[in-house]
Amino acid sequence: MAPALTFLNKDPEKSQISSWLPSGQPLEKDFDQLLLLASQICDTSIAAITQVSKGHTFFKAIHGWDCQEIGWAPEKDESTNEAILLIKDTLLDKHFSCHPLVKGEPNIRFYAEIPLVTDTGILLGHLCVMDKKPGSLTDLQVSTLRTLAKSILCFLSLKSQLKEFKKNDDLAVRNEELMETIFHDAIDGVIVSDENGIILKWNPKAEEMFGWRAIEVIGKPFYDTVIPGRHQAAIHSLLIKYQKDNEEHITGNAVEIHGRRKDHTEFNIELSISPATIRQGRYFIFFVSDITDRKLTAEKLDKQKVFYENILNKLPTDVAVFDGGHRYLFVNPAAISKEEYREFIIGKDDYEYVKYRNREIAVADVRRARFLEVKNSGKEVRWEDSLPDPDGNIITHLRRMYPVYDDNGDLTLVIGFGIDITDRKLMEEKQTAYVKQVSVQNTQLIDFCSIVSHNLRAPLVNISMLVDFIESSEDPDEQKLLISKLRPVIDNLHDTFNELVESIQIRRNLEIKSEDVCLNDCIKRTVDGLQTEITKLDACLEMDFNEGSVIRYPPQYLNSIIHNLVSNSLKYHQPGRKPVIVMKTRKVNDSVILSVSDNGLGIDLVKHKENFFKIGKVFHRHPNAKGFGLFMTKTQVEAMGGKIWVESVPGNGTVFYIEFTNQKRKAS
Amino acid sequence: MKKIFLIDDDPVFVYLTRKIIGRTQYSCEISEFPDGELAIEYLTDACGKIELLPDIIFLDLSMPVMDGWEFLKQYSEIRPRLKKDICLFIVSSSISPQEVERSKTFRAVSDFLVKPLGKAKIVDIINSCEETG
Repeated sequence: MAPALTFLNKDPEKSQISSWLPSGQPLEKDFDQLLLLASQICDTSIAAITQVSKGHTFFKAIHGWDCQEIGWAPEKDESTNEAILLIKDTLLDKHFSCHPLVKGEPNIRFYAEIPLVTDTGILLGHLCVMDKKPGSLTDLQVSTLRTLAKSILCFLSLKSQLKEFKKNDDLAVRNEELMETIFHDAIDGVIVSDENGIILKWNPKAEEMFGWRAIEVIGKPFYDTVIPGRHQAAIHSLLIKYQKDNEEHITGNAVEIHGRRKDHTEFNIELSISPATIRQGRYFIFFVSDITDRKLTAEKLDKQKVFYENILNKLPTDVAVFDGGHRYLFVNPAAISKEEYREFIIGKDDYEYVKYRNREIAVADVRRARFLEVKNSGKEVRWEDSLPDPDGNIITHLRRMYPVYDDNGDLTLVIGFGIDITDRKLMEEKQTAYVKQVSVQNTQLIDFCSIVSHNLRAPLVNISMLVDFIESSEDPDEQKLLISKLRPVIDNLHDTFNELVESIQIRRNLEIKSEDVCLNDCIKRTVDGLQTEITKLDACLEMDFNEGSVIRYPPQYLNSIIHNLVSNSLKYHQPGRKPVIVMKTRKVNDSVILSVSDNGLGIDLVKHKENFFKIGKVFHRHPNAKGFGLFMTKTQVEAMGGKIWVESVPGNGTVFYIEFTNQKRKAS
Repeated sequence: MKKIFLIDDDPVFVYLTRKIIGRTQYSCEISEFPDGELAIEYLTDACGKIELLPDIIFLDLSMPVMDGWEFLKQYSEIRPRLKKDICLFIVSSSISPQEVERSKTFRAVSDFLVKPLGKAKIVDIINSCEETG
């Protein structure tokens, strides 16, 4: 048994052709007439178109009997495919005698079939004729049957093509419906015109927008209908340009323009024009969007932008906004006044900017460090920086930088503020100076009170007591003795009083003139005054004034200072040790520091620190110790803005340091 | 016989104080110390010997080498070892309230007296020490 049609589905062409006569389909009524003709030609009572599949025979169409399928198939070789099969008496044929239509009703005795083979050699089925009595076919009958088979194939082919056409036709209709829907339901106004701009189609959205019904505008020029007079020429020339260019791809050229409604009111539209060529015809498709709202929103945004920019630009505070990579997104004119620089910096970082402005890279380093501090800590950072302005004045800014995060917690911006606090800074410095001065004056006042109560009151008390005794005494000798005791007390009172007056004068004498004083001259004067003591003690004075031998200072103060320190060193020498006094100068910035060191008794600074430079304080049991020298020295140093301090080890010696400020030498 | 220590560097004041004490009815033994250091050295050495310790100390504040305040600091340290109850009076020419306040921080100080000292005051003091002693 050879499966006649099973190979049919092996390639696309065969598969398509097999659809001419699809299996499993009901009988084709279309073939009834042809089959009638076949049975008449062959003088048989039955004619049919059969298909064989998997040992079954399917009757696709049948005339003279009614049957759809039987579980039997003709047994033949492939080679016999194209030949006619002719069974004159089925009962004599071993295979056919088992045919269900032979064995049963309608008891077929005669059977003949012609294969239905396409031009490309594909077997679709068979045309067969059957009769209830044995018989045969003449050559003419066979050849007519073959012609009939060809007609069937032709009919099948046509039918299939027709079906295909119908399918395409459906698609075209559907496409058209789709286009129509889009056209109707478009949220934009869609207007189609011919090549001269005469309106052909006008969708409902366009009706709604412009107030014109489609029937009112179709046939009128587009630009005349919806464009205000002043824009018409422009649109018209645009259309002419498109006509000439003949280029289909001029699309998406949206322009914002005014549209005009039927009632002559105008509104903002976005108009885009697409030229199109359809079947040699030139058309324009106009897409119109009402952008009144968009325009309003944009205007509002613009206003807001102007508003905020005004604030930012007119703020007297520096404002800079950075992205997460420390690149500038915005700077206001307070931060960078020159527009050129301001435009340059956008999208750049400080390193690029300092290079551009020829500034020191350290400035960028500092700013980057602050930025990273903000970025890494996630917190606001504040600092002050001082930079020279173009005129060389130091300008101090208080800067604040803080991070801005989005809803996801990602760093989006870093905002930096800078306020010029130069004035404030100067005020602060002044204030600090005032506070210092006041506190110094307060200390001096307390000192003064203490001086008055201790150093002035004590001799007064003595005088008053002595006078009491003198008055109450009746013994002239005793009176004489008491009177003799008055003299030293009065002298002491006098000395103390003079020292105090002098110290007050020093403090009050802000006008005192400084001069360039040669230290060596000054020391010579001191040595002359103290010659007796120096010779007596065999003292040695060493000087090293390489780093400054001239001090700008009031000469009488400097003489007094040096005299006091040297005489102290001599006075408080270590008994049995030859006094060595070393004087040196050292330059530190604008100051000269004079040190006077000795190898004398030294002072216990732990004990005496607080009282060191106070009036009337003495630290050694010395007959001439009065406690005036250091008090006066300190007063003379501090009156000129300098400092005095001391280092000492009891038994080893003492070093006094005096800082003379503002000693910057003029370039000579 | 009262033992009185005068710790003061002012020879005139010491001379006058001696004179006033001499004019009272009490016979007193008076020792002088011109600064705090000499006085504290003496007291440290004598702390166990009751016969060498004074009954009354008059202490000046403004003195060279060791002033009255430093003396008080060191005196407070040796005081528990002293075999005698000593009445200590600050005698100062200072009228500063701060110093009066500061003196109250030392329990050893019986009173703050402002110079000059009159005879009546000294008699009061000797009497009051008599009672407590």
